[in-house]
Amino acid sequence: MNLNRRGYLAVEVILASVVAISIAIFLMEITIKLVNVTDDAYIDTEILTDKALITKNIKKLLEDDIEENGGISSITCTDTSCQINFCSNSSSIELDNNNQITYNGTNNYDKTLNKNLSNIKITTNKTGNIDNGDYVLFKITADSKFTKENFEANIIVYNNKTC
Amino acid sequence: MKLNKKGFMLAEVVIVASVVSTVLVFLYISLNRMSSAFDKRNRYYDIDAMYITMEVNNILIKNNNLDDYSNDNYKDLLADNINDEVIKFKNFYNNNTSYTINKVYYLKSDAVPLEEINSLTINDDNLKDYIKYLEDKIEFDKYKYLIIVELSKGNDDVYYYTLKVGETNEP
Repeated sequence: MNLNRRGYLAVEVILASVVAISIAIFLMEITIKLVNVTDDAYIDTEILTDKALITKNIKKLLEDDIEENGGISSITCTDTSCQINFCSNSSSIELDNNNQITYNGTNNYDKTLNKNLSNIKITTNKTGNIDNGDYVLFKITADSKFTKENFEANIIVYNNKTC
Repeated sequence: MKLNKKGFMLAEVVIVASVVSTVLVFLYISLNRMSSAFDKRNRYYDIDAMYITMEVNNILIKNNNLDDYSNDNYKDLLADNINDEVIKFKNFYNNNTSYTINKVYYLKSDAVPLEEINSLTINDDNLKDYIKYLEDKIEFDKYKYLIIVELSKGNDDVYYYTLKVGETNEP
């Protein structure tokens, strides 16, 4: 096929446009993937950090209270709070309307959970009287819209009861 | 190549497009590597598995099991008749949470016990990958023993943590 200069230029322009548009689409796809991955990683990290802090701090305070107050004698729970009675004192783990979890005991602690978590509940494995040598589990669960797993913080303590 | 010759513009476009495409491909590969590293960090340093290893360590210390195991390279703590307290804790955990403890190993801080566990797990690619990762990461001389936990969380992934305990039995 013999083309004059104009024809050749037209073919060049068409081919160059196709190549440029393909590169632009590829670039857009990479950018969208990068933004999605970064967003997911950010939310995952925030939620994991919340979980780590809550588990560590509430477990430590509970263990301190168990040692100072003679162990857990009984527990009562609603959906949003657990009342913990030790041999010589009491404490509670509570959730308020602003997604804040609070431990009120010999020492207090509070943490506001990520705003992407909903339907937050506090439960325990056993209510009523707790025996010496039992493991006690406090579970804080929540639904998460943006991560593949739902939020579940398991706080397990060993009960050394002396009363 | 002289200017004003036919095909010069097309040649320019092809060369520039090749360079840009190469850069974009490298960017894509790096992005995938970063995403994979993040995922690996989450699966190999799992918080729930970490607390399980700490509780198992407390059980071993409380029941004076460490002296019993001192002549062994490793122990599968969930095997029958090895450690009833650890099994009791595992049953408690599995029955009361939505996670499942699959494996708990005590092993001396050395590459040999890791290899022994690796040779036993013929079809377990997840554990093999994790052991290979550990062999590169741990400075065995610094620690007295290790506790490894494998945990499932209801999806297809498994999660790990290794507690490294020094001379004072404190991690």
